[in-house]
Amino acid sequence: MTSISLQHFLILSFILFSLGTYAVIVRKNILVALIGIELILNAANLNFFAFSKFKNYQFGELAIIFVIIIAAAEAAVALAIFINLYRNFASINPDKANTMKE
Amino acid sequence: MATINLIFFSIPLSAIVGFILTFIVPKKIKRIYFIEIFFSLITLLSSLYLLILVLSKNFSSIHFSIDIFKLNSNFDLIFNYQANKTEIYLIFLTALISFLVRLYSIEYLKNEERLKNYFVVLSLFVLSMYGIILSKNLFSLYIFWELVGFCSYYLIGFWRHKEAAANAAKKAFIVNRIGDIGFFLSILIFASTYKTLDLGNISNAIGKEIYPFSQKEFLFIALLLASLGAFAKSAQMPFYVWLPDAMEGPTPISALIHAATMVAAGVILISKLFAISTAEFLLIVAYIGTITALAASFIALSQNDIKKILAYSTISQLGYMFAALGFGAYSLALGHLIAHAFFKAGLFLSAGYIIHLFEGEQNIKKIFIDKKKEKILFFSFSIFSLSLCGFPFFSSFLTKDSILNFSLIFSIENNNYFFSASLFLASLLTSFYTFKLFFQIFFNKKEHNFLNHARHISSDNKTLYLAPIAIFAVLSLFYIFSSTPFDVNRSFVLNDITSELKLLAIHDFYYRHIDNTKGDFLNALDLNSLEFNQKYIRYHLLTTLLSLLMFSIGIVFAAILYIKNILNPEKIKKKLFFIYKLSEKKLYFDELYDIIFVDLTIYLSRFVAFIDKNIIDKTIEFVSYSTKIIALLAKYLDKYLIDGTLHLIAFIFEFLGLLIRKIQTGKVQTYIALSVLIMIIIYIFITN
Amino acid sequence: MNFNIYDFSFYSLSFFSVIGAIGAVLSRRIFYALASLLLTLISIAGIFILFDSEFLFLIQILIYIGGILTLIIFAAIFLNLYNVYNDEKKSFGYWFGFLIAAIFSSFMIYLIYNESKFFNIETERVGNLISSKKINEIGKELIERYIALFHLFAIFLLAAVIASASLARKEKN
Repeated sequence: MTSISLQHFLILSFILFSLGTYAVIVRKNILVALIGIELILNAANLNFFAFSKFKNYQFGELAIIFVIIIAAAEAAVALAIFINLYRNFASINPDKANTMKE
Repeated sequence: MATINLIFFSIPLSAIVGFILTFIVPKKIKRIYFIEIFFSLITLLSSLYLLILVLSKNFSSIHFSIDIFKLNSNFDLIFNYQANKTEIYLIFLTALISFLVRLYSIEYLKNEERLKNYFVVLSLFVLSMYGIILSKNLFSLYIFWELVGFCSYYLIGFWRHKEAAANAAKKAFIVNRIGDIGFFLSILIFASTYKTLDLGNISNAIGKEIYPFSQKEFLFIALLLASLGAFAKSAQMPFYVWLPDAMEGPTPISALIHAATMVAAGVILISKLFAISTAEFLLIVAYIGTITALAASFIALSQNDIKKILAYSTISQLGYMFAALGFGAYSLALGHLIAHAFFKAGLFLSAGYIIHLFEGEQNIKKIFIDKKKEKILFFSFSIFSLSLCGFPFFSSFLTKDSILNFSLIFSIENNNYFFSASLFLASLLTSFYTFKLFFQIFFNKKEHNFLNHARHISSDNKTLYLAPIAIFAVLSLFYIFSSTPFDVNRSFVLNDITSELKLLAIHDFYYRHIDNTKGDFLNALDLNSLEFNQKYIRYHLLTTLLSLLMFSIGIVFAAILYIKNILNPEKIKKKLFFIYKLSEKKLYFDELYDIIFVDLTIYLSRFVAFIDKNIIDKTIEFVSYSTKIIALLAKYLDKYLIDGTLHLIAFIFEFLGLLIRKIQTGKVQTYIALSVLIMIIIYIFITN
Repeated sequence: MNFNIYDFSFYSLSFFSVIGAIGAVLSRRIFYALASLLLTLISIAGIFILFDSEFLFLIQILIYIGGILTLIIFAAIFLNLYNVYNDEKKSFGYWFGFLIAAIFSSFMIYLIYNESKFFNIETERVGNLISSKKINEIGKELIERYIALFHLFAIFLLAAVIASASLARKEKN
């Protein structure tokens, strides 16, 4: 039917995962970090999906459902935290959210 | 027996008591000297009594001893004192002279405010003199010897404001000290060898042939060392330099100490050692005595000060005594000592009287005394002078003449005419200078000098001056010695002394030497042999004639030069300039000692000071400098190394801390990155 | 070679998702990033439907795009982030991260292409792909087998709602 194999999915998910990691670690914008988290989760979803499709991993589809639920909840809470952060430090730069003594 | 002991002991006891009482009685008391006069009178009477006993042959010797300590078998120190006839004579001599001198001093020093000190030290001196005479133990002798030296030092420098007197006292003491070192060393040698210092025990031990360090030669050295003390104290060559300077002291002191008693102590010491002497040692003594007799009379020729002339004549006569001892004529030496004591004391007291008359002028070129005004003085002085020259009928003729006889025999025996020639020449010179003195004072009227006429003393107590002088004059006549003026063998004094010689147990050690060393050393005289006695008689007449010849030559020359200016002494002086200078400068001994001892010491001390200043101080400076350098080094070491290490460690930790602290950035993304990293690592490890 | 609609669809969808991801992470403006994220999400949903799983497609669109993305857009609008343009430049760990990324990616690629050695999930194959479940099957699965998890997540969602509401509340001063 198709020549798409497991490796295709895994590489795609790896690319998305690393881009998401990049966004989380390197970008100095909290919202972009949140975007990066979503990308990571999506990459994980794709991984689950690939394995459920190609390796008859029955729990894979349900895992996807649960991950999406988690993602939604976590995004809501994260945004609430970001709002607080913005209120306290007047910036969306996570480096500014730093009360360490220099 | 008990009375004799009592009377004998009263002599030292009264001397001690007199000394202590005079010492403790306060100065304010007038006529403090009466204590002294009283006690010395007691001493005089006791010794006179003992003398009478001796003369009447009723005397037996007295011993007493004081135990100091006794170590087990090693060493004992017992002070033995012995009074034989010889000692009685000497004690009487000392007692009489000191008594008369004290009387004289009362008048001579009557305006002196330190009179108490004078009498205290004087009595200490007399006490020590008794100690020397009586001691049979070398160490006790040494104690009194030192005491006598100290008293002499004090009394020479009695007028302490006079710088010359202070210097003279120092000189006397130092020269005496040098001799005392020798004496002390010999005491050590004797003590270590014989474990006792008693002369009798030592002479017994030598009889058993126990020598110091088990060799006979060391006995010679020990004796020589002891004799150094005697030579220093009796002002022999080369130690005579102190006696002329000692004339700075008061004249009674010169009479007592430096004419009659202390300078005789040397002779007494040698006579005590006579029992253990070897022939070589006595040869040395003879040489020293002869040289001294000649040299001192030579120096006396050019002197112009009364007391200096008398001082040199004392040295010269002492030389005679030592020479006599050296020839073996023990009794003649002591006899000459006794005779000399009387007339020399008389001469000094007369000199003191003359000085008093001229208010301190001592130069005979400036003095003239009218013999009609001072008759007693004139007669006494002439008696003394004749006795000094050994003129017959006077006391010293017997002894001096015999000494000359001995010297002749000694020289003939040994073919060495040095001794007799010197002694005869010395007698010539003696008569010359004696009569130079006599003529200058009494016959040579000085025209240009206002001191020509001595002031008439009416207020002074002349008796105290003249009486002692007169007494001494009487004692200078012949009969104190023997009943006939010419025959020495009849002299009771000398016979008494000679008989003691046998008691002293002179060992045939002395005589044995004569057999063993024929040809090596000069032969000693065997006084006991018949041969000697024959020789003595044979040469006696020759000696007497020779000595009379010497005497007449001397007096004639003196008369030529000094009476009525027949010949001008100044011209003679110019002709014999070199000899005159030699004589005047006392044979340059003082200059020699000055160079050797004083300049050397100054040079050495300057050298040492130079070393100290430049080397030692520089060394210390260097040490302190290097300490500074080291301290600086330590500072830098401390600052850079040690502190640097600490700083380095601190820096490392700070750096590490800073480094590690960078992990804690406070940025959330850093933490995320780290955790991702670690998870990757864990993941890799798990799957591998 | 034949034009396979599956392959073409998959490659284009994956290409769009990567493009969208790149745009999401590299954009300087937040709204552009969110728009790119939208593209990514849609592409991933497309991949899901391509492989016969309608349910996953549905919930991807409904929840991710309709819920989460909307939420983030609302938050961005709420925080007035229209023209925020703040980014700091490279820090010292930049190249270090690059190194880590290189190591990690090489490791992953190795793992991916040798996964048959590592993972032993071998099942029977029906053709080339396992068919996905239908919606009613998933529902049955949930209720029958994973009811605990279902309830747990429900409570979890409740907690999240309460938490976010309380967190975002303005302090009454």
